Amino acid sequence: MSDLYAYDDEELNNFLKGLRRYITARAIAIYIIVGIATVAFAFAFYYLFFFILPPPYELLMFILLMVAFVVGLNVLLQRSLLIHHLPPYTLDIVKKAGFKIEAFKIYFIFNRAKVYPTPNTYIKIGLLVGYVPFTEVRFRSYKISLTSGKLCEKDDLLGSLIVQKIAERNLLSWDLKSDSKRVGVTRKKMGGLRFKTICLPEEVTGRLLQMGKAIREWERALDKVAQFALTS
Amino acid sequence: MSFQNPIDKVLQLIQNLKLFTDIKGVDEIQEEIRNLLRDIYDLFMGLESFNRKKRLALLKLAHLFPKSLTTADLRLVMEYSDNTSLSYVRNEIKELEDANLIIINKYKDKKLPFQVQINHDHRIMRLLIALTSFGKDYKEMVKGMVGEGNE
Repeated sequence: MSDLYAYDDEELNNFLKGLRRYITARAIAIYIIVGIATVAFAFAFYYLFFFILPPPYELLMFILLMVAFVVGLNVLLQRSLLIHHLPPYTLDIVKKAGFKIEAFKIYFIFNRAKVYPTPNTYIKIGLLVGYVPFTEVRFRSYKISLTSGKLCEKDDLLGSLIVQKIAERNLLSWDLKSDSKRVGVTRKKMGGLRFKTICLPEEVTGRLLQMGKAIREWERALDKVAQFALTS
Repeated sequence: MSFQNPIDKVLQLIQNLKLFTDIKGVDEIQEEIRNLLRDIYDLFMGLESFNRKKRLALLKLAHLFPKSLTTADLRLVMEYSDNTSLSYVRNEIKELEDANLIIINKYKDKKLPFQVQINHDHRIMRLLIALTSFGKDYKEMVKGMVGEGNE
């Protein structure tokens, strides 16, 4: 992508290069796993279950099944990595922007990335990668997701109005439906209103500053409401 | 050499009016100006968080308001090459739509192209449209650019 070379900022370039290297390494690791699993599955299926396929198209069915297996396993592995993580060295640029970063909790080989614009509220940074096989290594296909911590309950009328106004003022999108995604997976308590934005890797610093500003405004608004309630 | 704050200077001039004349409502005017400047600051910071292509789309749509653009026109004003697919451009501006900054009119008849317009109901976008009144030449230039593209 030609845009990548339009920036002469060295730090930003390093950040993008780091991400790119990480995504490529991750994709290659996934392809190796998918490759080994496909060969194993194909052998097992061929010798154990091949005879149950309908006779005239058995070879075609077998090929389709294998393609579905490759795509399905790839999507599954890519999706299972949709936790909020970033390679640690790419977070240097965030550190330099003045954010406090939580010490990493390492899950398997992935690191969770949370930054704190204020002591109370965090912003989760995560990579979103395209799931279609062989597209994830393209620079265009990955984006960065920023989600703030829970600000207030979805049915808190005053809170949602303040959050909406602040989001509007800071040109941020805000996620009203985060509850509904989790219903039925016993994770409903994780819902609630939060700022949410998806951006290109080169926009991360600007977007983080913006979201940090919005979070500080939210906490100040809460403080003002509390002060008003006490004084009147 | 001391730094002279231009904003304070204007506010002080208004304050002087209150001191030396009987004009009423000076405090309200000051408050309005402060809010306006605050909104301009928010607009700056907000625009800074988008990359250049998205900024171009917003600025040019604001200059062209109330005219709406098709995705092909938008590809032109965002300075993409003609080889860039329209679905990629649409994907790029989806985020602006999610944040309510632009409106994309989609017709049921799929042969008709999408019409993209700046969201004039958004407080900050209204301010951006108002600010573009200072850029008459630029407005003409953008209009000419879109006109040429359609010919």
